[in-house]
Amino acid sequence: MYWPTTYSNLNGFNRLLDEMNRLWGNGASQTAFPKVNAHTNEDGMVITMELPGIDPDALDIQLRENQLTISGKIEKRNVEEGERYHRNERRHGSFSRQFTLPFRVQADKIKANSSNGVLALTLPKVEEEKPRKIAIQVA
Amino acid sequence: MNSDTLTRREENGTVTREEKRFAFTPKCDIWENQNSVYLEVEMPGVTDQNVDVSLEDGILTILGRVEPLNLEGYSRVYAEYEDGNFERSFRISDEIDEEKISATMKHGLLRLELPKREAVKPRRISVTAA
Repeated sequence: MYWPTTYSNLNGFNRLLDEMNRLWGNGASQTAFPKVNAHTNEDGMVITMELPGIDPDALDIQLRENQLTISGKIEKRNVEEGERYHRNERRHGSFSRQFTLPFRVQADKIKANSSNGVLALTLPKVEEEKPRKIAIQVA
Repeated sequence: MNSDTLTRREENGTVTREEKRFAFTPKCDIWENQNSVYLEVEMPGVTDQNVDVSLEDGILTILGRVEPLNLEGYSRVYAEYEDGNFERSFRISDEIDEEKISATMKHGLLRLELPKREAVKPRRISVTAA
């Protein structure tokens, strides 16, 4: 039997694999904790992080040059006497996630927003790094 | 994760069906003491308005509808999680007093308390010397 393996087919398959990895998690994203998404446009980046049950005040967000660090702790509740656990699926403990941003950030314009257990960090680029339209002069 | 049709119970008792789409199985802790069973269910991105807890024939069903952040004009460049609704069902033993179930939602974490019926709570019988 003849199986055509053109690059376009392979690309299609890789894309499918990508999608599947996203849905079910590949090695990296499965162990990553807490989970993060990143979105960009011309002006900068929005990083979102899933933090269900975490008090946003307990988070520590730091920027050093273009190194962004988000750290905190998910407290484990103390098991009291006479209690019995049936499921223990939630992850607990300290975490620290560090990201190297591909641009310089206007540190004083960073916005951190937290709603319903999702943290959203808006990181604007410094003006010099924003794309600039170059006008063509007609001679 | 399952692809069951999401159903939502309206206040007047009618059930409307939402579009068929993926629902993620939320992570959950369950523990009990002698008075109650507790559940903590992780549903990041779900408001208290968009969570629906129903009980029918001893099956407790939790539905959470995510309202994705408005990121218009942005393109996603890196992803470890997907936005999606949450759904999970649990069979509840008949020792639970269904009338007394209570739920609170905070920072995307749903906490349910399922009190046990008086009859099943352990009772201490004091022995008196004859």
